Amino acid sequence: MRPPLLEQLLAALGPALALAAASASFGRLLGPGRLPRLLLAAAGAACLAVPAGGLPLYAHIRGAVGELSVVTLAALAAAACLAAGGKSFLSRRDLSALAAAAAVSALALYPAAAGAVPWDLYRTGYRPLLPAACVLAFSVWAWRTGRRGAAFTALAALAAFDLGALEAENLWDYLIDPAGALCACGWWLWRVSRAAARRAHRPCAVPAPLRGFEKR
Amino acid sequence: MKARALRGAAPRLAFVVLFCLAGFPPLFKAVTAPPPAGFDVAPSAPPSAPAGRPLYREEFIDPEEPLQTAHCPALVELGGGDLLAVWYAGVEEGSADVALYTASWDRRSGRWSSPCFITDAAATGAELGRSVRKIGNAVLHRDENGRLRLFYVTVSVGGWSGGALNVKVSHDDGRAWSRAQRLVTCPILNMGTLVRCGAVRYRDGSIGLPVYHELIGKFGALLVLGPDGSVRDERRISWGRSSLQPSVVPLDDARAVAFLRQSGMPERRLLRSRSADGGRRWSRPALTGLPNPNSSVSAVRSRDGTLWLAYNTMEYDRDNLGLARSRDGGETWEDVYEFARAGDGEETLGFSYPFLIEASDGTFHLVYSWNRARIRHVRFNRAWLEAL
Repeated sequence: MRPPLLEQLLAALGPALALAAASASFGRLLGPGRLPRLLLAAAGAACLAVPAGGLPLYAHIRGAVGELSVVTLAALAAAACLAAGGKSFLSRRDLSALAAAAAVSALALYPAAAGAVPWDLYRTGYRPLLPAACVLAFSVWAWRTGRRGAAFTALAALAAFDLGALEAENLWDYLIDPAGALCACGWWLWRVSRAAARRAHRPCAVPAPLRGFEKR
Repeated sequence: MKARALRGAAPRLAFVVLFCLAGFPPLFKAVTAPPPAGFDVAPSAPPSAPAGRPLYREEFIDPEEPLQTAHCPALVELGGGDLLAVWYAGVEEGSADVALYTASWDRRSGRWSSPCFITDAAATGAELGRSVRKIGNAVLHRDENGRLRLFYVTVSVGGWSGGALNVKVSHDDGRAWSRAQRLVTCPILNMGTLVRCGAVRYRDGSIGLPVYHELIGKFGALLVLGPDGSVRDERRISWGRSSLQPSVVPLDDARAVAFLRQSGMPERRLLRSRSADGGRRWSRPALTGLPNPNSSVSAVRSRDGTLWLAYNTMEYDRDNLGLARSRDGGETWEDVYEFARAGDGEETLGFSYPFLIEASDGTFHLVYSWNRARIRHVRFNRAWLEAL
């Protein structure tokens, strides 16, 4: 069992990062200074400690969405860093790779968890030979293709599982959560639809004149 | 030049170190995990002549002035043959004031203690550090070391289909309980897992907790918890949208049978599934000949190998609660007794959610929800059953 204070801190981390990113983004609209953005991010995160109905605000968010996965936490932390400090430890390519992996996992995991099929992919996460091997393979692929942030994020999720950092005892919960999966699917849908629209509006190539018929 | 090379090598080194440190423990754990043990079942003994005089007693557990709703009782035998019952009660099912109560039954005096408040939505929410809107079904399990576990359902968002499991532990037969701990059993916001029927034991000290999911589909599963209470596996008993609340009965160390409440099927029949490998794989649930009005059942195997089933005996309501016996592992059944029946034209909320156990002295104890207002306890012995 995790110490209560650590549990509360980890539970508040996801909403705090999300609010910090949102507040700092709002701060960017107000001016270029870094300090106001950092202060706004801190103030946004601190809002979660405000009590509401006998519990701090983050406890209500936790009640509704549970704990976020390590991958989503990393993405939120990257967003908060970018919004507050102008730099991020996850590049667009990193996020794209992580989102693709999350979207594919969600499509395989969630229908099975809902009882739509007789097999249960989620149970493979309790003694996670297959998922851990997939994470390791993903991290090697990401490293070799220059997506170092994605590689480290995947390994961080695995390390957090080893340490039992989250409430869950299933590796899948460290890799993916519905909020992150929804964003990942949405992002990929948007990218695919944008690419399709661009292809549809691309001007037709002018055919090259046939050899022998060139104008002289 | 050298410094630049070192700077370039540092991330690579970090990657390799993290890869090894993070990657190998789960792989090692998965590869070296011992094979799952079989069920911990007392060997069958040939039927003997029932000893003693026939015994049949009925009483209410909760006091005469009840809360408006009392429902979903469960039982466990403590050391020395005493019993502990748990149920939820409040103004109405799902309201914020609903709380879990326990009462203990003293074997010598044959009396129930006054109900004792265990927890409610607010207390559990404070312990878990999350909002909890309502509290529901609970079951008790006592392991071989005398440690008592209370598994119960809470809901933060939505109806019962948004339920999640929590556990409290007691080392003193239910007098004091640990703070609540959440069990994560579903990847979709950890919603939709509920518990109703009693747990089974494995030989290695693991616990097989029958659970059911009803977030989108409705299906049963056996949640396997290690001796330390950590979730180790979940083995699906059924899938789809029409079966829940499995009551699992081990027949020997490898074979088990599960009876499931049907929900929303045109055939209002009890469902049955079998396992021949310690509960790892289960057969597709088949319809039995027993009626089931979308209600919970409770099955138990006595020492002579006979299966006993407490169930609602009508297809369309819960106005009758009876006992059936099977001598062939749950294939065929014969009705032996009716514990409760609504009178002609009588308006009732039914006699439902039975929970049946056989105590170590051979006495059977049944608790059930009486009219959804009080908890009824029935005890009887083999001599009484044989005399029927």
